[in-house]
Amino acid sequence: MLQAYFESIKYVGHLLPISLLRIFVGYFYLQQALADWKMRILSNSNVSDLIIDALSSDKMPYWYRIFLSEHVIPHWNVYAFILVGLQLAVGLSYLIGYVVRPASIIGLFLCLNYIAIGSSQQELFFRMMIACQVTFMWVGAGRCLGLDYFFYKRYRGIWW
Amino acid sequence: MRQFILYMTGIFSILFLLYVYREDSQQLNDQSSIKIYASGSFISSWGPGPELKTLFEKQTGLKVSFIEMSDPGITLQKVSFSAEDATGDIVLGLDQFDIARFTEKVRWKDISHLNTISQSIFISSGLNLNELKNSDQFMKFIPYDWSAISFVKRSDSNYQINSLPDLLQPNLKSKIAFEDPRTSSPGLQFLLWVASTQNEDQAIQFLKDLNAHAHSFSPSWSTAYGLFKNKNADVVLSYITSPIYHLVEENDSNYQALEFSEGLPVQVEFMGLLASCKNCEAAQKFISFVQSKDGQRIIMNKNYMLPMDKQITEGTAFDTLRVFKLLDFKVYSKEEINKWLRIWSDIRKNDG
Repeated sequence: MLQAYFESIKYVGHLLPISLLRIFVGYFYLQQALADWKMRILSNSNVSDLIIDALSSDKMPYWYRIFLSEHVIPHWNVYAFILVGLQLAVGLSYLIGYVVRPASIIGLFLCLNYIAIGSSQQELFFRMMIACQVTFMWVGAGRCLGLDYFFYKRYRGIWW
Repeated sequence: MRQFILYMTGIFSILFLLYVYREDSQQLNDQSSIKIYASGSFISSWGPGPELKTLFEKQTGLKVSFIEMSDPGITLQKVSFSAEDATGDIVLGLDQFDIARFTEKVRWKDISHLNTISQSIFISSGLNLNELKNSDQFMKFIPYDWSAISFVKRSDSNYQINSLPDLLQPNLKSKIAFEDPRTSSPGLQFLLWVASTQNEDQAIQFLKDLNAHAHSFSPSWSTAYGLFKNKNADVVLSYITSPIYHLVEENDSNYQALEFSEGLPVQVEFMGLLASCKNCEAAQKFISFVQSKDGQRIIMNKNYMLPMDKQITEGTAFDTLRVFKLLDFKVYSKEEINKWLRIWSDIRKNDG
């Protein structure tokens, strides 16, 4: 598997720049997961300021506002745990290049969520992130400098 | 797809194990610790929080941790959503408007028996808190510091300001830094100061004139004071204790809080104990500590607010503070506050 990891540079080297971007985005997600784990889970924090602020924003779709206030806020601990888990899964996946294609679908939904609840200054950043994740999904960014190359050689298919 | 499902299961299993482990360790820690919601300035290295924490921990052996509260409204909303699962035990830094507007949705413990500061002390401080006796809502909170709000100028400037209408003098055009009442407590104090000293039509006209006359309406006290300090503005809406800060920290006596013929409004800061407190007994000890002489002295010296007991100021720079004519402390209803905030927003929207 390790041999395939480095071999990928030789055979799909044209994906290397995108793989470096993938590793960087993975690092961002891992950092975010670690910060949220400390803040939301370890310190048993209350509902995020971001969500409370977001509820008063006009920009948020009505159905999402109802979803946040009726489901997310009353069960905040569960949702915070899931959110951190998804961030960790996406971050680790991008970092090691494993199951990058399905992970980027999750990453895309995470970004859509951030856009819905975040401020307008952050919106542009998360739009760029969406563009990155669509690219990762499209090209199969885990096939270069990633474990996906090993599985792609063995099993083929659209998931690698 | 199978690989992906296995991967996700692995990640969540590891997280779950970490979470379970954390539950055990946190229960052990919680036995002897209290968590306190307080503003950023209160818990910063220059604020009273760290010193209060150190002394309290030394005296009682209990651990204190602060949770930064960006805005009391948002924090109390979060506490109300979390109900019994709220993290903190005590909320510090609520002023009379926060209590009127935000506290009804949260359940509080009755701590009136812990209030060791008597009415006679309020009167000796020049502060008349009589109206608090008639308010059930306020009985759940204990005041721990206060200051009157006024305008501060440099002593070497030539402005003659003795009453609110003087703020509209032509030579003060674009010279006064105000705070926005929607986001700042002193700003809201000023708005209700105007509302309580003039009839409604006069007050609205005055606010309209002032809107065109002011240098700025900053979102926070620190931003407005920064404009004044950097000489972008010559007069600022601040606390009567602000000149004491310059005297003590910078050895600069060139600042002066102004007397107003209408009397000055008073901001009182309160603390409350959440009904969902995890370590209520220790939290009550902290509340008593804040009211003690040591606690009050630390708050006075670090927060630059007046202690509830005037005796604490003896022999300090705060003792040199002149006696200002104060307006009686008034408890405003949520509706009254919101009505004036709406009027203010309309003026800013239409004339700003």
